[in-house]
Amino acid sequence: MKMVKMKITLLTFLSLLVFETYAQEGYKVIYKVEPRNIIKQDETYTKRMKYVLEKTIEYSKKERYILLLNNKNSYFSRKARMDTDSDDKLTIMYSGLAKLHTAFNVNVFVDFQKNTLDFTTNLAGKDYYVHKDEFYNFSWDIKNKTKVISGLEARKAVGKYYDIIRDKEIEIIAWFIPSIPIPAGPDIYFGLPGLVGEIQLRKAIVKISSIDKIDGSIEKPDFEDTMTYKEYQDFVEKGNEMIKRNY
Amino acid sequence: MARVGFNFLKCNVMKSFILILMLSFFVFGSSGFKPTKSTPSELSEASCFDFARAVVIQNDGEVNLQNVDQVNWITWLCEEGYINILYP
Repeated sequence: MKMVKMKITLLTFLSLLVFETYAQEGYKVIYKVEPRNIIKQDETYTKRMKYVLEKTIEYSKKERYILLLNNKNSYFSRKARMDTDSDDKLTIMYSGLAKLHTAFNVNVFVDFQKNTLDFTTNLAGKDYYVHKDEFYNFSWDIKNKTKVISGLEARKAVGKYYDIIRDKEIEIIAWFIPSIPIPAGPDIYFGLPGLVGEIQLRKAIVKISSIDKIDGSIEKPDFEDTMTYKEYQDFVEKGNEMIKRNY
Repeated sequence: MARVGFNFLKCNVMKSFILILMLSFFVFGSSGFKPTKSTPSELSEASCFDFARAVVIQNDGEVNLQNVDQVNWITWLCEEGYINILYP
């Protein structure tokens, strides 16, 4: 009898171990950026202005983002680059302008079990840490249209959310991959029944450039002095009022 | 009565000068005479700010908390002469 009990305990332990290992299986996704054409044909630009905008598009195309994901968590961040992250003053300008095409947060950590996210956002040149108790609500409308992204079938979804920085509702088109049934995606754009393979934003299209399987847990980075989402909203509201008066 | 005066084009010295000027323009082009970097005194604070604001609005649609540092940075670059908005 004692032997049977031991066997059951061992089996349960092994099952849990296998389940835990399975749960830690995940992916490393690299997203690339395709900027939309910000140079309008009917607009008159000075040569300098046109040059700056063209250079910004060039830098934007070099931008890459990394998403690590498994069943429990995901972590999204920008991939550092030697050529666009130098101390050169003009490079800082082009790189800074290029990042605005996606307007992504500095990094985003998601807990799929608690339905929470922590992110670092850069406002007026300073990093702020924010904790959000619930995911953004996109009210995703899943369509029948499909296409292939990185060899995987993706399905179209249309959503909208209230962008507090721009103080307006913004429509988002996403293509998610049902064969990877983890509700992860770039930045705050997730919550679909599959990994987001492509997202169509106001100024850029962000899509998967590579995807690899990985093992292991995803560590939560240190988010110091986090503010609540409500505090963040108040901060943005006051900041935007000041900018409207002075800019 | 003979005309007394100075015929501009008949003067060989002036002809040579004009020819040299034309050749210089042909060889160097219009950019050949331009400075490569503007001095801060050439650019007013207001024109630099307007340029910076226009770049950010063309790039991002509006000025907001997320891009206001770019307006400030480009204004500074312009005022210091790192961006020459007067010449292409």
